[in-house]
Amino acid sequence: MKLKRSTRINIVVALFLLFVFLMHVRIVGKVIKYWPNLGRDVESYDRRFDELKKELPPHGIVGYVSDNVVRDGIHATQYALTPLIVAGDTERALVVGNFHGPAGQTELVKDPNLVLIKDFGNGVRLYKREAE
Amino acid sequence: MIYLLALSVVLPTLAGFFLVSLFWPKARASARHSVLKASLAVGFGLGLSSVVFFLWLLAGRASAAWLFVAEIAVLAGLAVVVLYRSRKKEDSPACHDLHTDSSEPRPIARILAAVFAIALCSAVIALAFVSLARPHGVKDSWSIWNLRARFLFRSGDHWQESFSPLVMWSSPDYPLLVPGTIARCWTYIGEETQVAPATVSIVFFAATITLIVSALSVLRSRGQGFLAGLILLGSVHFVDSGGHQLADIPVGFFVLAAFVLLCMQDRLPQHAKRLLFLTGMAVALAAWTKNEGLLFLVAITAARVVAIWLTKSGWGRLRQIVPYAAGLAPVLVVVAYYKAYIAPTCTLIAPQTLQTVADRITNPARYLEIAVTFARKAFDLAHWTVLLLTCYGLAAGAGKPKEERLGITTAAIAILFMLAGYFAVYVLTPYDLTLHLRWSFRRLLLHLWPGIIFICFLLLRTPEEALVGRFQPREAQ
Repeated sequence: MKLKRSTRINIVVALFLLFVFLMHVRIVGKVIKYWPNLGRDVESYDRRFDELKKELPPHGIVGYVSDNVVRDGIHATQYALTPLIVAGDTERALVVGNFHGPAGQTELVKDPNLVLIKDFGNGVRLYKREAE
Repeated sequence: MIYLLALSVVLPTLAGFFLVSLFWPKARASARHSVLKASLAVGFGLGLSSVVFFLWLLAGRASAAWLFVAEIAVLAGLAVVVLYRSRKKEDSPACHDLHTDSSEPRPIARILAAVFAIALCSAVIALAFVSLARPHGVKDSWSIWNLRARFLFRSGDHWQESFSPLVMWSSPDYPLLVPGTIARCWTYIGEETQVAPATVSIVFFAATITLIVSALSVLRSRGQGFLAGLILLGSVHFVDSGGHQLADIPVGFFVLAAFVLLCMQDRLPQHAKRLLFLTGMAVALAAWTKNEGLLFLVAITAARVVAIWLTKSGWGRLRQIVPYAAGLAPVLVVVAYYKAYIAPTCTLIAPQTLQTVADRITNPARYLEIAVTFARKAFDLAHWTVLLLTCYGLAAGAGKPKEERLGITTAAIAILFMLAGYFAVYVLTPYDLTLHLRWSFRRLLLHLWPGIIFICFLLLRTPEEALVGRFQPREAQ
């Protein structure tokens, strides 16, 4: 059976519309998937460091120590503390502690020249490097 | 706050509209041309306003009022020139009669228009939800683009500190179109709000869609434009990325804009210089958006030369380089200054030695892995589209794009050069190849995706032509 050209075109256009409908169902499915976790981890970082920010200088470089093995921790800390630069070491005059579990906090900060200035709670600490 | 945000987007878009109008062939008022110009205006306006913002930073970031005054002055200047030009009699009949369909839309175009409008609204609402769910975007958006925007906005006179090697993982060598646009919006508002990066992201997404629809409506027919728009709106990854606050959709916008303008100037040779000037500007703005835009600059320039040779269009066409370079120059000078004096060396180049480069080039396993990933990711992105376009091609037949042959050949070769460039970058990457491919290649495809769809629809007959069963003659040119 040979279809007329206009019929073929109309079938293909209908396929286009079906394609768009199905793809939009997939898009909506993806959007709904975002909702449960809300992806607001970064926002929570912003809030976690609110009190710490008041104690830090407006510019410069601070060190960083954490029990978080994933690099996202330092990236999110940098995002929250901008315009300060967060270096991934403890060789700075001020060092930010970002801890998620209580166990490792004291073990990680073995350096005797790092002195705790303030514990802001919620795993956020500020250390000072004392001259050797 | 919302009014100031709207002002920060509308002002440059208006300036962009006047700029595009200044170089656009004069024609009787036509909705298709107006939408096309408005779509281009969004990208050109926001892009150039980010350049102005960067210059404002370099000049010592005087008060925000000065930035506002400077932009108003540019807008007023452009408006005066455009109004003065519009008084001159210079109507060009070729300009408004490029399309093949009649002025009165056929029923099929009406149906497609209605479905397109619903799909666009649905996509924009979905993106608004994505933005609410992820106000800071995905990992790469907050750790690269929004981070840089925060540095530019919060640092005061210390803004150049953000390019410190201590934050190398944030790709500090990337150009500033997206972070500059966001920081500029915040400067207008006077405070940070995540609505700004979300708005910029969605605006570029919507402009890309309207650009492809309006460009094909001008060059082919309404039906063809809406079909292309529907294909783009049906690309899940493309739509999803529209709310991710990344720079890939803006790069895709400028790549598409360059292809559209090249094809327009093929159809309107008497206005070629003006349209080539805009083409150069679109290419330069791609280079100001992402490093891949610099690759696009090389790819499209080389592709034009190869296309002229392949299509035997006459070497006299190489004179086109003058208006094209004139369009490139203003933004490219800023990009060159930024790369030379502000941005650190690209992280893909910096840690390489000759020995490691030689080892990577001579490792066939890398080539195989890249080729397999390219094929797999391209299949993931495009399999439904290819199937649908094949069905449509079989039903409607191929078109006869004789007049845009050079533009289409240029675009096709530029796409191949881009893919070859991406391939070479992966061969040489100092990062773990598997991870690098996994985290970036799908996004790189988005740079080319709207342009590929545009070229495909230029090559196919329009639904209006196919339903009539013959090519409708174009009106006198």
